[in-house]
Amino acid sequence: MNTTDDDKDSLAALYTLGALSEAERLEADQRHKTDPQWQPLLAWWQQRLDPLTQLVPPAAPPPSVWQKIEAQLGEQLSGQHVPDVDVGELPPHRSPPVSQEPGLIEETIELWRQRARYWQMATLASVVAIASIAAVLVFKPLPFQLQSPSDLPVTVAVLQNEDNVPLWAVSLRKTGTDSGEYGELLVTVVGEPQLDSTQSHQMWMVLKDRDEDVQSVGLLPDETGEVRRLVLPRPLSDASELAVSLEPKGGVPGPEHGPVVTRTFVVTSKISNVF
Amino acid sequence: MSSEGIEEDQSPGSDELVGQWLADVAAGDRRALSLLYDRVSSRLFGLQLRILDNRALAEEALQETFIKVWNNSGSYSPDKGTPTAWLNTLARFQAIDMRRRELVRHGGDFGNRSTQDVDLLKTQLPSLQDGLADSQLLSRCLERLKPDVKSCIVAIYCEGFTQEEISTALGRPLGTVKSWVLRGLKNLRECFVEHD
Repeated sequence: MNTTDDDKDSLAALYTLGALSEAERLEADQRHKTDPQWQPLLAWWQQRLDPLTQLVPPAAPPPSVWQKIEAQLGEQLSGQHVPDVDVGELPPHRSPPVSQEPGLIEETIELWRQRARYWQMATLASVVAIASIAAVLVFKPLPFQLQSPSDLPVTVAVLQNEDNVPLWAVSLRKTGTDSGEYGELLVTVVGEPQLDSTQSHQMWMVLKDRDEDVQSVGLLPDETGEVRRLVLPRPLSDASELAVSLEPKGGVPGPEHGPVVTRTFVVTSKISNVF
Repeated sequence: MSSEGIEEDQSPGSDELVGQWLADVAAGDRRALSLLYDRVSSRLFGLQLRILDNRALAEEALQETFIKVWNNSGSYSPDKGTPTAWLNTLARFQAIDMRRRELVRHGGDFGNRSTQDVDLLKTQLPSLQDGLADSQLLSRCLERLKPDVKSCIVAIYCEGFTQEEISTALGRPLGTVKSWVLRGLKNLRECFVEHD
């Protein structure tokens, strides 16, 4: 084993052991894009260290945990009732121009011009027509103490198809907290996303200042009226855009992805009094 | 949904069943998620409780783990290891990340937590010989390590300790602890390869 292989093996071992920080682990997660040996190496270590879990005695969780999981999935799956959540009125079939602060549209256009990277490349290769931007996802980090159920959620973006027909409304349900969570999006199906039974729509964060770097947020609901909560895997302010791609059923781990069907920018600066 | 029994099926074929349920969950099968929960939640909760040493946090970790399973089970593939090991890793990392955030909240020292934040649940882990009776290779390779090195590896893997915490607890420089861990992992690799 040469030095490079040795370093890589050590990194994989530390990763599997749990000795890396969350940031280091997320960075290591990107290695499989350029290194086909990375994933098998991780699996090799995982398989050999996993018996250590046998040292820890199992413990029965209380029934309330499953009830909470069911309730959370119920929000995702039924869309019939979402406690404490006001998703607002569904927009008409064709949404009017989004009212925004002066300067925001200009900023958006400038951002649009600057973002000629990964997603546009993917778009060109796509067999699916690109949807237009419906709105800018506006994210203003709030001081923790200002967050209350009455403040949130706020519908901050509507994702449209290429005919400007709204498909999903995106609300910011929770911003990050001081406990280190990164907040949640609430996605409501307001139109009729087109896909067949073997496909899923998947949302991605396109990360700022990191070319071609994306992170999965989760699968989107597709039945009209359905609501799904998506826990952000990292701060929303890390993203320059949110994008939706069409994937095989169940989605893909990324970063490779299918055709992009819609996207929206995330603007985190130069905005005041948005909420 | 019952969580009464904590015995789990470790029999041959169990992994195939878990893999099938994962595939079914990826296809949107809620019943498969329920069956999966019945099968593995006690093991995952035990791991998370051990790492977080706090019942409320461990419950939150288990909930988040299963939401991730629901949303991301399609990303599992056999080249990522067995389904059981994949789930264990998902659960461990969920708990480890939460534990690190708790550490930050408490100034890097779990000892700073108030009694309200702590569940006095921890008992001594079984000996490697007893606890790893079904995994003789790992047991044999770990026993080759120096006791301090072996303890570090078990503490990080099973209890979510950071190397900084171990350094503080043992009163040894962080560089020394990191060196122990790295050397221990290399020795483990040599042992695994030797017996593969």
